[in-house]
Parts: sequence; C-alpha cells; structure tokens
Amino acid sequence: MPSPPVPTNEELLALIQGARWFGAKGKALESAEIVDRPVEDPAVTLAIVEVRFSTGTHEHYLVDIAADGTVDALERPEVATRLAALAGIDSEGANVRSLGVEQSNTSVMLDELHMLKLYRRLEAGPNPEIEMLRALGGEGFTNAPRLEGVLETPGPPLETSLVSVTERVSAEGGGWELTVDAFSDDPSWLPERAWRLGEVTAGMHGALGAREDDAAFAPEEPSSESLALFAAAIDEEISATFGGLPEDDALGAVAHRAEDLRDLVHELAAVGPAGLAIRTHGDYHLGQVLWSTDADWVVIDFEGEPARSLPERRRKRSPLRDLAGMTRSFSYAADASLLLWGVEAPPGWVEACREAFVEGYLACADERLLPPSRAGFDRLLALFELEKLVYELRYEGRNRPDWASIPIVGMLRMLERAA
Amino acid sequence: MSSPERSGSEHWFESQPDWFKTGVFYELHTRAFFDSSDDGTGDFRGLRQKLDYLEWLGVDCIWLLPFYPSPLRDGGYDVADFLSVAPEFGTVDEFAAFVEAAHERRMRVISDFVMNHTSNEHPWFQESRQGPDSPKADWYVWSDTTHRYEDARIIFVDSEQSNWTFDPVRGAYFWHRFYHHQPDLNYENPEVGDAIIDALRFWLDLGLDGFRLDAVPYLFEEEGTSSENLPRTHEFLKRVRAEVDASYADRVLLAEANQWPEDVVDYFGDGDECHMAFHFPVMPRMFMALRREEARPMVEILDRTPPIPDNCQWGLFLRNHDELTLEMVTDEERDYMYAEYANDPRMKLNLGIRRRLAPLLDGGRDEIELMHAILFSLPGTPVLYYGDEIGMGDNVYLGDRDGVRTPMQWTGDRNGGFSRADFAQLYLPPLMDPVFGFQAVNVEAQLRSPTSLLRWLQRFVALRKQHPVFGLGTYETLETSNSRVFAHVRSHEQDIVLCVHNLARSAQAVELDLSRYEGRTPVEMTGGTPFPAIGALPYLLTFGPRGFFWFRLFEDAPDA
Repeated sequence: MPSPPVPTNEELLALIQGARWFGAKGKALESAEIVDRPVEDPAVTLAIVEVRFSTGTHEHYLVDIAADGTVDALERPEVATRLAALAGIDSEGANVRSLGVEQSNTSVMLDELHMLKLYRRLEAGPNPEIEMLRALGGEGFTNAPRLEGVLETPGPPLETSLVSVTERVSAEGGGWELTVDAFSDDPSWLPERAWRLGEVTAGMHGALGAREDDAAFAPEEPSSESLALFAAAIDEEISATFGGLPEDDALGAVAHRAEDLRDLVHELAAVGPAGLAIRTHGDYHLGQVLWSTDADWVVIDFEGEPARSLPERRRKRSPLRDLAGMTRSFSYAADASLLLWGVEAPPGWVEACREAFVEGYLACADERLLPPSRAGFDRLLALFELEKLVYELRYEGRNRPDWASIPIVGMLRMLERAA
Repeated sequence: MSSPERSGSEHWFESQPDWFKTGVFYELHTRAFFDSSDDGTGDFRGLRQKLDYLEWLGVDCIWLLPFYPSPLRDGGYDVADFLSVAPEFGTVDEFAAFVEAAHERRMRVISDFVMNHTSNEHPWFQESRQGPDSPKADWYVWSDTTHRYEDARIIFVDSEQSNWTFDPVRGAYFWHRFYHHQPDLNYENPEVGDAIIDALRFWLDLGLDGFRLDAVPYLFEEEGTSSENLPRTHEFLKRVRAEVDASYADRVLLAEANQWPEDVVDYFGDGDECHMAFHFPVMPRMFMALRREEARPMVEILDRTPPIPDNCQWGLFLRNHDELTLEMVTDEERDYMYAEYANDPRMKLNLGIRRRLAPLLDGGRDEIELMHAILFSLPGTPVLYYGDEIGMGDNVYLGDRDGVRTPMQWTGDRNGGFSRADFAQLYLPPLMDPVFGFQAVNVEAQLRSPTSLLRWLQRFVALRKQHPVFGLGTYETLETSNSRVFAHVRSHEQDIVLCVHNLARSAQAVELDLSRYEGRTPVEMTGGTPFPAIGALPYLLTFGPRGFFWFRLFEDAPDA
C-alpha cells in the first residue's frame, strides 16, 4: 500500500498553531512530530501529533490526512464515510455536511442520520463523553444522543478514543437560541418548559448515580471537609477577584461588598450532609440542551469543561453544581437579551424559570444525591451559584466589562435575599 | 517515541523530569492521618478520603513514612517484609488505589524505603541467623568479635552501647548502626543489592513516584574508616539510579544523609545518583538565627553549601517525624539550642529535640510565618510535616518520637475527628491540652477562618508555586547593614526576586546595596504593591517585628 504524502514537521507545526481546535494558544511551540498513526487506510490516515512547548511539556493532537496529503479533510465524503465505517457504521455514499464552528473538536453530519466527531486533543484515559454516553445509554436514559460507534486506539502512546458516531438528534434548536429568540414574541417559552428540563436533569443524574458496580460512576460519600474546602476556595476567589477588579463605575455597586459575600459563603456552607458525589455533566447550561422535534429536552456535549484536565472532568461532584450552571444560564439569557437586542425579559421571568426547573428536578430526584433537608438543598444550590457568579465577575471584568452587570446584579440579588 | 512510555496511572502526568524541583512536599504517617475502619489506626482508605484536603493545600508530592509490616519498635523503620503493606493500613491493592487517586489529583507519592537494615523479625534475618550454612548466611554482617569497624560512631547514643549485638541463635555478633533489633544488611553480598532493587521495582510498578532512602550513608563498612559515605555505598546508589532511570520515567530518589553539606553533595554524584537530598544543617541554624536574632548562623551554612548538579535539588524542612537533629552543629551550638528550645529534659532525644514546630516557637504566629517564609525562599524543595500547617503541638510524655506523631486533628469532635474508635483503641492519644489540643487546633475550624494559619499557608504555598524562580533559581546572600536582617536574591531567567527577613522581635530598618538593580521597581509579592524604584543609593526598608518582604524586581514598573 503506497503511503500517502505526509506533511513535514514544519507544516504540522504551522497547521496546528493555526487550527481553531488547538487549545494552547499563546503558549510558545517548539516542535511538532507524528508519533503514531493509529489509522493507515487508502482513504485516510489518522496521525497522533506530539506538540512540544518551549517549557518542556507536550500535548497530543489528532490530525486526519486524506489520500492526497490534504490535512483537515473531514468534509470529504470518502474521508468521513471511511472513518464512520471504521467506527462500525455503514454510510457508504452519504452526503456529508460540515457542522461549522466548533471550539475543540471537528464534526460532520452524514446524511442527516449520523453525527461523526473527530476528537482533537487526545489525553490518555477514557474519553469522558463516550464514557458518559455509554453509561446513560446503559441506564436507559433516552434524553441524550445515542452512541452508535466508536473508533479507539489501544496505544501506546495513548489508549483513547479517536472518533465517535452518534445518532442525529432531530431538534427545533438549541435551548439558548430558542429561549433568547422567544423573548420578543413568546417569553413564556422557557418557563413553560423549565419544569420538564428539571425532570430530565434529575433523570440524567439518577442514571449517572445508578451504576454502583462501575468504579468510574459509583456514587461516593464526599469527605467530611469537602464542603469547607470548597467554601474556603470560593472565599479566596472572592478576595482575589475583588482585589483585581479594574476601576469601573459599573462595578461600583458591588465593589465594596466583598466582605458581605464572604460572610454569605460561610452562612451557605453550613449545609450539613451534602449528599453523594456522582459523575456530572460538568458544563451544564442552556447551550447544552436541545428542544427536539418530539417536544422534549435532549442533553448534549458530555465532554465537561474543555479547559479542565481529564481527571478533573471525570471527578465526582455534587449534582447541584450542574443545577447552578443551568440557573445561572437563565439569568444570562434574560440579561443578554436586554444587552444585545434591547428586549427585556418580563419581570419575574428568571425566578419563574428557576423555580419551575428546581421543582421539576426535586419531583424526580434521587434523594441520596441531595442534602436531606430543603433548607440544606437551597443553601448548597446558592453556594454553587455564588461560585459561578464570582467566576463570571472575574471573566466579564477582564474581558467584557459591559457584561459585568450580569454577575453584579446576581450578587446583589443574592445578598438581598440573604439579608 | 520521543516521550517515555507509561503504564498504569502515571499517565496523568506530562513527562517532566524536574517536577520535584518546583513542588511542595508533605510528609505524613498513614497511621496518623485518618482511620476509615474505626480500629484506631489510620489506613490507606482513610488517606484517600483526605486527598481533597491535600490537593486544596497545594501539595505536589506526598511522602509516606514506612507502611510495611513491622514489629513497630522503630516507628515502622524496622521492616519485616519489603513487599507488603502492614495489615492495619490495608492491602497492596488499597495502596495502589490510593496512589492512583493521588495521581488523578496531580499529586505524586513517594515512600520511605529502608535500605540499610531490616527488623530482626524479617525472614531474611531469621534465615541468616540459623548459621553459616544457611542460604542467606551472608545477608547480614556477622562477626565473632566486637572488635571490628571500631571507628564507626554510635548513632542512637541514648539506647545503644555498641554497634554489635550478640545473637544466641547463631552464636555470633551482628552489626547494626541503629537499634539492636535492626541488623544491617550486608551489601558485600551482591544478592542483597539485587533483592533490594527487586523490592524497589515492586513499588515502582504499582505507580509509586520514588523513594526517600532512609539512612543511606551506612550501606557498606570498611575497617579504619567511619564506615559512613564510603565510595562503594555511592557506587551502589548509582546502580539503583541507573536501574530506575532505565525502566521508569519521572521518578525521584531522595537521600536521607544526615551529614555536612560537603559530604551530602556526593549523594548527587554527577547528577547520576540521588535526585534530592535533605539539607540537614540548615534547619537547626534557622532556629538558632531566630533565637539569637541574627542572620549569621544561616548565612554561614548556606555560603558553605557547595553547588549541586543542575538536575538535582535540596530538600528543606522546618520539622519532620524525627527529633530536631543537632548532630550537624558544634557542641557549643548544641548547648545553646538545648538551653533555648528544650528547657524540659524530656524534650531531648539522642542528639536532638523532639518537638513540633508550633511549640518550639511558643505558638507565635509571626515566628511561624517568618520561618515558613525563610524556608520557602531558600534554594530547595520545602517539605511540610503533617499537622504543622495547623500548628499542632506535641506530647513530650510519650516515648521516643511518638510525641510528634500523634493523630491528625481534623475537627473538635471526639478523637479530633481522626477515628470513630474508642479512645482506648487509638494507636496514640490525640493531643487534648488547652493550647494545642484538637478542640483548639483543628482543620475544620481553621478552614472557616480566612485569617487562620492553615488558610495563610495555603495562600503562601500557592504564591511560591506561581514563581518557579524559588525552585529553579540561583541563590545569593546579600550583605546588609543590619545583622538582624537576612536578605538574599534568587534569579532565574528574567525573574529576579529579593527576599528580606527581619529575625528580630523588634522593629528594624536595613539598608541594602541594590545598585546593580538600579532602575528596577520592587513589587511586593503577596499583595502586588509597587515600592519606590531602586536608585544608586542604598535601598532602605523598615520592618515590624519578625516581618519579611518578598519582592519581584521589575525592569518596567507594572501598573499599580
């Protein structure tokens, strides 16, 4: 079999540096080198490229090379269908559609039936998304895409997943877009569906917490000081974030409230038993749920926060962290609508969504995963929301000062409630 | 393949051969940390439950004291089986699960390993003592007379009269540099070295990241010498290093050689022996400097410390599981230390003082912070001792070094939250005195208070780790106009850090000649405040009692 022409190391270096899926932008690159070719096929070669940084560390990326040597050629039918076949899915002659802008991976749609995803940054160990989809499917949770096929490599250097094929979800759209679009004509769109979103979320957590015999998923009792450690970490975050805030009128309303927020952390951390820790979605917000053509929610993207390390993404946590991600995203949707299009959410809209979502969740939740009392539940959820708020304030303060009002309003509201 | 292959759980780490140079180590007893089985003794499952705490504190590497089966007549350093875990700590599988869980949190684990001797209950010794025809007859050092190696000193002067003890079974004397129940292995016999290396491999294969090699200067004996630091001992350690490097990536060998720096540097070889070695003599001199309120004792020992190979690092500590050793000071200095830090004779042990950090410093918060600041500023890797991060005390009424090995104080609840066993079942009683007892000093309470020692130390560890210059940079003592002020400069690539510490219990002023940094702006590192730019004239700094400043010297003044 003739080997396809392969890019030189210099070409690889330039290619990876410019790729949007390259996660370490800003870090000085020293070299790139192909260290393994887990797939060598007449139609497509998959190469694992080791990228070395000048600091002496390295990362691995997966690169696809078509027969003529073209790199990043997933949109070509012969490349995509061949990879699908290697993952166990026959899609011979399928129409291939690119899925546009993606941060960390590259995906294409095959005949509007299957979604094929090529994982870019490779780390040794189980791919969290595939692990999660398998677990959810195995527990009969149907509000997530069905995993149809996987292409894995046994290593060395890495034992990991390269390509996945999932069933296409037929959806009206993403939760974020549908919510924001509805503000102008039907603002009750999300409030009417938030209870169901809570139920689906509870079902997801129930499935993730059901696998007692699977070490990667078995629920765990958190250590007795885990909540105190978490509170201490938020406390330090508040102190660091408020110390580094730029001088800005917009921040004035909250700038002198750091001590009040730190007191609030203490108050909220008095939860008592927090419930079992389980595998969670990890990056849960309105952008990670679709409203399907069958009029139900479908949860997507189980990779966790891309900036976190693999073991961190696989760490078991309180499921309430996912809830806080979603409730904060309701506030963002309302405030973004106002900031971007001048369309205001009706009064009480965020609260209505939050309440329906939380009540829907509690109606179906696995109680082992929650603090035993409702008061404990409310405090723990608020603590996770406060963690998100502090992160938001730091992020917006640095990157989009105009948006800093979103976390500021959230913080002030939370302080008011506590007073 | 350009990066080494990994197996098991180590793949969470990037290949980073000098990881040990920029990290913070934390020494603990499995026995003393957390009891998950309610039997009164800490165990590996319990330790695993406390990993979140160590991760939060910023620990990069956990150093485990010996956890092997042992009759426990020397805190587990009397090993009865090198290839197993003492049953009260759990199983080998639970050990491996703990290591894996630590790795998932980006923490490494090293363990004590005793190469020099075994317990007299070790099957090797039981075989060896059967007589000269036993297959392991020469695995230990036997003699018909006590008149061999007479130039070797006795180390445990409080409990041992001779380095030879008569064994009635074999009818001969066996050699021991430490307790008489710890016979020295005979490295003249190559089978012994092979067996020890096999034991090291056993643990490395389970994912362990290295060893703290206990009592390494004494492996070989030779007539007419002190039988310490002999060339053949170094040869053997180089062989260990070569075998480890050939099969395992990113592991570390940390030598315990309680010797003067000019002898200890030999344990680094040419970068082909141990990766790390403890710098013993600097530690008593830090305490001496603090008591005398003068920098000289520290400066002297640091200035006489020879350079070490690039791929090596000193290990530095304030206190550890042993007594504060005074072997590496003069007799006069030792008398001074005893008078100042051990006013109760029960506090003395062998040539040292068996006390923890906080009681040594009378619980003074300023002193504890200053000593940590000096420790963290010196060239080397700081090693914290469990419990010192919350200012735990000691119990001088317990025997040997048990007084500094009491249960970790997690909460103010029963048994300090260490165990749910009956009090009488605990391996040692937790501290209950009104000043240092668990009701006054515990993790739970200190986590809640942002101004606690624990929270301060967590921030301080994070600060040190933000600046690789502390682990990688050069060290240079600065002349000061005030002998009570200890000042030095660390630099690495573009990064220049000035560390100035006031050892006095009164406010002080100092003038520093910083003319070679003229034009640079010192920015204080804990709060980010810029100080006046350095000019051609001496730079004036003033301090409160036991105060210190760390500055980064910026070429261009950053924004306030």
